[in-house]
Amino acid sequence: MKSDDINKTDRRDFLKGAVAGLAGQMNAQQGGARAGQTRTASTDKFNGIQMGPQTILDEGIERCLDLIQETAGINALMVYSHTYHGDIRKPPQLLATDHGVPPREMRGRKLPWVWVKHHEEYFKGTILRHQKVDKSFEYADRDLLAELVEPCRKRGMKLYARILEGTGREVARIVEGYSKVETVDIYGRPTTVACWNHPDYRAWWNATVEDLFRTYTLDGLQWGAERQGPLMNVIMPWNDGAPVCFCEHCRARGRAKGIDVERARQGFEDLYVYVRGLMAGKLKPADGVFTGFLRVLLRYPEILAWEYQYRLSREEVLQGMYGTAKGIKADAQVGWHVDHQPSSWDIVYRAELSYAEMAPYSDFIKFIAYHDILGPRIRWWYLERLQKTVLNELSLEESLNLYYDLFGYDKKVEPKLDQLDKVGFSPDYVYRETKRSVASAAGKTKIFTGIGFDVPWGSNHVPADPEKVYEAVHKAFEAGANGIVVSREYEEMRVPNLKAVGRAMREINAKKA
Amino acid sequence: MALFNGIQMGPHTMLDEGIERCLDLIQDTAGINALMVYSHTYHDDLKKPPQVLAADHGVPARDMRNRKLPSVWVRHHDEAFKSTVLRHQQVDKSFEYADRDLLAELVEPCRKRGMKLYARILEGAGREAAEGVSGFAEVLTRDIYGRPSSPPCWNHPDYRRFWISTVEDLFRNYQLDGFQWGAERHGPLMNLLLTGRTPFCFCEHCRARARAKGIDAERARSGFEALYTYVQALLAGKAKAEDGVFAGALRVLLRYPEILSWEFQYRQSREETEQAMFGAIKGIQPGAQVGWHLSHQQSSYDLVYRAEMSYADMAPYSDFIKFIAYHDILAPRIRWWYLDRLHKSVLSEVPLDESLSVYYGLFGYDKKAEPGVDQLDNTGFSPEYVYRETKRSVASADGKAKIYPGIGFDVPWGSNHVPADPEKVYQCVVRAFDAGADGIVVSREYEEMRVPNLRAVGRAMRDIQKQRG
Repeated sequence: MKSDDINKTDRRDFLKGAVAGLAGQMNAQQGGARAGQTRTASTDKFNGIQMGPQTILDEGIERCLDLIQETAGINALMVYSHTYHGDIRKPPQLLATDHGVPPREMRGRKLPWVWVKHHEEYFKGTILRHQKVDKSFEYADRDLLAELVEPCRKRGMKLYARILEGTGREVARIVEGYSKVETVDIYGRPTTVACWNHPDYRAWWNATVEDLFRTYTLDGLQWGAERQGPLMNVIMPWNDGAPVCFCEHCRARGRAKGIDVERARQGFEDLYVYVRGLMAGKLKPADGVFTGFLRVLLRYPEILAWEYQYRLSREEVLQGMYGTAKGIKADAQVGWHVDHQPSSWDIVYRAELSYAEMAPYSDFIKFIAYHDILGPRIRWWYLERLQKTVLNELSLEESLNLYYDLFGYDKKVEPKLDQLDKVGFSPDYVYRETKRSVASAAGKTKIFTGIGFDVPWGSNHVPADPEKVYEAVHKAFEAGANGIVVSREYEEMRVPNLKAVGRAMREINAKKA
Repeated sequence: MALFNGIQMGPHTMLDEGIERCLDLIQDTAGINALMVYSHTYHDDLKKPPQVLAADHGVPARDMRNRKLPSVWVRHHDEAFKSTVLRHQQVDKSFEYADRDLLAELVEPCRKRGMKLYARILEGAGREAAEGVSGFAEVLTRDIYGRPSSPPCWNHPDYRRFWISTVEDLFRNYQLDGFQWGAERHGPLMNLLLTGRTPFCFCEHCRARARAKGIDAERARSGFEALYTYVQALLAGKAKAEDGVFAGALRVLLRYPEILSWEFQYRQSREETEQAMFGAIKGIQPGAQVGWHLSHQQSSYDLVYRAEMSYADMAPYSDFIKFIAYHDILAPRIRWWYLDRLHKSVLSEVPLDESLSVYYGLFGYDKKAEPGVDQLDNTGFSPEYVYRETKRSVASADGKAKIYPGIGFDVPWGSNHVPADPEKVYQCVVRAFDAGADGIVVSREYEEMRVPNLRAVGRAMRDIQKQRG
């Protein structure tokens, strides 16, 4: 053991002791050792929860863990180790007020983006460096993942680190060296999204994971990147950005795979110009709008080749992290967050790889199956966008029907077009998407269904129906899920819905027993 | 100036009915001013059952079964064919009408009526061509397993030269005003998705072409094999498609985009065959009008064909494009040749009524005017379809080639006559010109056309001419 390791161990032990003491005080104040009473059975189904580090610290570790265990029967905690994804400063109306501790006003807080202590020696293989969290940041003196070990252990909870990749100007500003690893668009311009093929970006994630698993006593890691591939980015755009990535590394990869890089770039440029023309209402394609899209693909099939390589490059980043984590802790559970678009409306992502193909580097795949919020998301993020681009010739009703068909959802059960804004999807969606995922995994990796509730739409809370939450949990297991991950964020979750999860899980675990 | 008003005609019909009587009939009833007569009938379509033939032309239709009719209706000259191994059928005296030379005989009767005379060919790919054309087996396509397949290869030099020689011989020996040529073939991708047929062509010429274009032929072949295996499994109900049936097809395309490259090159090769014929004819008779027959699939339900090229892209070698716009028969064709087939392969997740709705949407047809899925077997498409498809075609041509909608009526479905409504035929003609057509071609075959429908064409053409002064 190196001297640094000894120091870290000492520090962790100290923290564990301090936290244990604090926990004891809390439990005593709250009427006894509740954690002991509700300790999870090791045979129980996996029941994770996604949690922001600031929320746990705001509410208090012991109180928070007690709450999630008593209400929802949680047995695995997934806590952000890094919050580069920029989603934690939420308006007050989105935050649950029934956790027993009033939510804090998030605006104006100076919270860090990095919630773990990193060590320079692991980052020698990359030019990138994480944010330096000095004392001006709130909670700079805390080390949450270390502090959580004992409270989780005594409750029989697993502790997972959780990361969502960050992109954008803020990340580019905060992560040192980020501008060197950015993707390059079809016009040769850098963006604020990092390139999967950049060796420094890959090495950075490997270093991050190595540091996490060498420094903390983690049971697992969930990592995700909520990015579309370049093809879907063009036809279902979130912004005006031109297609990526044509950096030197991607070009070299393209050449090595026998792809004509310039034809791929030209094809994407033609497609981008075509779609932007459609969106601006300046194009009236004589042979049809969708036909025009197909024309570009037929003339530049390299677009598909490039798209597929983009996905494979992403998967190689996952493989890198997986190998790194397993090399340090062979029994750590390492898996991936598959966000709502790839799980439920990006047919290109779905077509590119089965979950079985991802299995060699996936202990689990946690896919989003947020039933309520899928309604408006499909209305405005899918139907509306595609109609403005390549599905302009279909009515929204037709497009919705086609969507339900191709994704295998039951249109008799799911909302009609005019209901999407007001009515969420049903637990049957959770069942079908889980069943599809289980089949796609072919028994080669575990499938964890992300049960989502109280997920906001814009700045508005979308209240969940506890009965539907209860049904969604049941449906996930009926469909063969190996576990669930209660989502999206604990800070948003109302207690009745957490209790609905708990009720369902107790029944499922009892039935299993 | 009279609007172009052509008619498609089988040579045997004209000879059976008599040239003068026949020309009088089509001119008196339909106001025809251009005759498009098959010079070759390799396309296997002459021996029709009696019930599909018109009985009101004043001459009883003959029973076609057991007649020994030639596939070649012109006199060819061996010297024109020295650059190809292929030779047309030798029509000896055992064939009916072997002593007639129809295209020569038609010149004067057409001229005196002010009718243009066009030769017309539909490529043959089946038994008639295989048995009739000497050397045909040498130019056949090769499928993904290296086996010879039935249509000839667009890239085979002998096949290309065969068509060049044919049109040169035609235009050197006959006084023709024009030429219409067509090949009712899918590309390999739609062939697979719609019929489950083994993909082609991977012959040495196609592989060489691909290499020159920077396409990995083996990956294209593997891709087509993967897609073929997948579609065959779907058709047999044995496919494993955990992530969805359509997603499974998309998966193959994402992994083997060379499929799209191959498909596009197949189309390009076809177009080069047409370019070669166009050039050969224009070199002999620059004033000849040379154009292409686009089949119903190509015009109205093959999105891949439509996407591959605009008509403006084809214009440099096209004086006109005649596309099929047969309103009545499109309905069962869409029901059984499109919806049903796609439903059995890659669109099995989409109910037929929704698939039809998407079809109408993507092809720009008005679903309120056109039949619902349960009407497709007994109600034809509307004249609005003719209008919309013509308008699309005119826009696609962008003023660079003339657009002739093929107005079709009395086109059989299987062995059954599908009677046309003369009022709808009238409306179709009017709507074609409303949409900007440069002319029409009365279709499918004169031998099937009932006189009231021919009269409806004539009435419409007179009304249109009158309106235009």
